[in-house]
Amino acid sequence: MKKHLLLLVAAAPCLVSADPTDYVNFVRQIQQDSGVEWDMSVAPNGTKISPTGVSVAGSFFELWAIHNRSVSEYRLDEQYVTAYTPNATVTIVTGDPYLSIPRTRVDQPFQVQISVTGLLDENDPNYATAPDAAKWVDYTNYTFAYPDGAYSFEDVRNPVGTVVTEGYMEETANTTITFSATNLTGPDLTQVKGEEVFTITAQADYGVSATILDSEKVQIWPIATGTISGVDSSRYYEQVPPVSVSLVNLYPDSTTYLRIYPGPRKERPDGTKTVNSSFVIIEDSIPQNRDLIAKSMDRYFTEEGIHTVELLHRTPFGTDLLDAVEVNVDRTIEINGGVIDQE
Amino acid sequence: MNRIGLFIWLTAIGVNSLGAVELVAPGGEPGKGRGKALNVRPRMTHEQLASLQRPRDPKLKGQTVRLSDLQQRNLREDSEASTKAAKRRESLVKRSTIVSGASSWTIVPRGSVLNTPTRFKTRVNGHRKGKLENWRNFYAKNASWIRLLPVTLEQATGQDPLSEEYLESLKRAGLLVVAICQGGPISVRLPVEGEKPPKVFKPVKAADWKSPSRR
Repeated sequence: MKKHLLLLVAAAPCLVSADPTDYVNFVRQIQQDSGVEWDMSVAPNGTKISPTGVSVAGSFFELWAIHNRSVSEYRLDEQYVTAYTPNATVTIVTGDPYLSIPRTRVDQPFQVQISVTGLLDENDPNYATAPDAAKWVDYTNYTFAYPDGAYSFEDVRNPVGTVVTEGYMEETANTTITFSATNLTGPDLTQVKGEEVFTITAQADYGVSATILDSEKVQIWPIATGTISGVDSSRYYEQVPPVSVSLVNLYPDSTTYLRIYPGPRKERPDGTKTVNSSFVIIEDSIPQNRDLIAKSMDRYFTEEGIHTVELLHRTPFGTDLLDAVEVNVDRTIEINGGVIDQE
Repeated sequence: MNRIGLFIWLTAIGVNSLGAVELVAPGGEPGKGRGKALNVRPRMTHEQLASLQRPRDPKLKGQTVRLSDLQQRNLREDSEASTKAAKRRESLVKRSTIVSGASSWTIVPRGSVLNTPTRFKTRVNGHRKGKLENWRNFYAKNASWIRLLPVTLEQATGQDPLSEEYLESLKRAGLLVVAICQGGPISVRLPVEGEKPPKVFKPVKAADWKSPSRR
């Protein structure tokens, strides 16, 4: 079966007074294993069949235009063609449906789906003598942490990352790798943030340097922290004061709010009320910090006794409890005195 | 009357309390009424996260990489091969054989001229006359002193080499002999004493290129 080689338009280089007919075009094929070179004369446009064919060792095809008088040479194009074409795609799937870039949180699982095609199978007759690049591809996983206080590499010239995994894949196949949590490291894993990069690379072969077949990254964000202040669990309040809430690293797609229920803290409480004025809704590309004061808290405490105020943080991954305080409400008026009967 | 009064009083309280708070059933959102119980989990700790992480390969500890390395198309440089490639890219004419006629000249791959009679020595890699032409046009004007020798790919790569006797016989005609394959000049690897011919892979059918045999 003959192999077709589709030629590019061998347009003359952009010289001001150059006539395309002053240039002679050459396509030279160089077989990598034997070193044999072969010329085909070509018109400015067209297709030509390469009779020598292409093996797993591959051939370089060079397109030259040479001026017929000045002998100025222009290498217009070069292609490396082999009989195997390793190809790969990397897809990252997380629990966050955000479309712009895969992103997730440090404590959330995510999947890396890798599809490799075009590698030689062990049973292929050419396998034993085929170059490495036809048999396997490299797989790497690197992590890059964002600098403290930053949510990107904007102010970093050339970020340095760490190597998590370096391996290889040696068959045309689909592979799914699931991570239960991030691979970033740090003294407090709940606070780390950065990017994880997954790359598939073809081997260097016959003068062609190793090439990246596909690379994808996922942004990893920390878990939010929040604190409630302004009420003391050991005190009894006749009127509950406004409550301050301090929020750090709210997930870019999240809703944070206060809820109150009677009784001490429990997992599935009854009679919960949501404090409408406490809602903090974030729809952003990076985590956010917020401080707020929830006023008019008193009207949520319609009964006397112990109540629990919880700070909840809802994300695409579910709802987390950031903080909780217990508030004692006592509205009974006690009078110290007696009834004097005057007679 | 008392009952009616009590009813009105209770209703009034009910109306008054509507604007103050929204009663939320356990697990429901404001206004949504009864739903599933809201599943609230405690914030994960560092220790819990550490236990979820995959253990790292100790051999890779301390290895670093630059983000810019990943963004380049070519990850590693094979220095010997790229030096060769760079040299190849410098000039086509310099690595080819020049054949000159009376009023024009052309280039053919080095190794495709199999026989140069003495009287034509100046026409090969010598002084270039006139304009550069492609091989086909050049041969059309100079066919009288050039002999085309069709060779097979196996002969060109040295797998089925041309014998010494055959090469000798080419000299008898006294013409410039150029090896060609399907109309284009092709270089021929001549056998070298003591050297094996290069290992050559079989060309692969186009139908098999992208779908290697299944297991």
